Amino acid sequence: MKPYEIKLDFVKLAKNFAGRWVALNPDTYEVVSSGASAQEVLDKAAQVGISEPLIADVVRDYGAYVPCVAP
Amino acid sequence: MRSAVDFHSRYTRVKDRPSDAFPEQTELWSPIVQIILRHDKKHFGAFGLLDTGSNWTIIGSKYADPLGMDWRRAPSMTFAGIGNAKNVGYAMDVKLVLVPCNYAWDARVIVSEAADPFPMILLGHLGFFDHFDATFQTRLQHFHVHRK
Repeated sequence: MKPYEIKLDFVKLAKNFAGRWVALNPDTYEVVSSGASAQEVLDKAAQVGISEPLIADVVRDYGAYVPCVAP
Repeated sequence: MRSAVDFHSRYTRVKDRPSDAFPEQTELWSPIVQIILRHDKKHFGAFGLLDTGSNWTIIGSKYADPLGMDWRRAPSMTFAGIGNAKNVGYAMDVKLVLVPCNYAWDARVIVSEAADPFPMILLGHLGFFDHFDATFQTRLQHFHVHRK
């Protein structure tokens, strides 16, 4: 069984980028671009040579969301 | 040949906002994994929440649009749950990759604008838990995903 951990500080990410999209290097979690939309950060990431970035819609906090779907 | 799926992970710490109901709650710990979404020739990574409360794997339109998905013309369905008793979702076929073990699979997912307020992909029973076994130890902030 392999250990796995997302080594990204979501709290710090929210502090710096809440309300924006970010593209991260998928191996290092370094922020390579930020912007107002997913497409914008994807385009910016491609410009710096990251062809398959990890993108995230950064929110101020997660407690306001209840991702529960009933049938 | 597909990679074996067998990994364990800590829950990931995310920020929460204290409320009158939970005044001490400044953070949450959630079972989150890194995935890759692929559709036609477009692909990118995203975070997915292991959501055992969701019958389907749900992708917000904000993730589907940059993948070039023509989801508005896909077969539709309605579902309740995310703040509305009648949300509309559209069935789309995508390839997903579970990054921790580099395992790829084809999944029919629901694309919905109703999921856009939520920041991550919701990995539900159809599309995720029908491919993997998962156990959760929330008390220990730990989960395990495997497939035999």
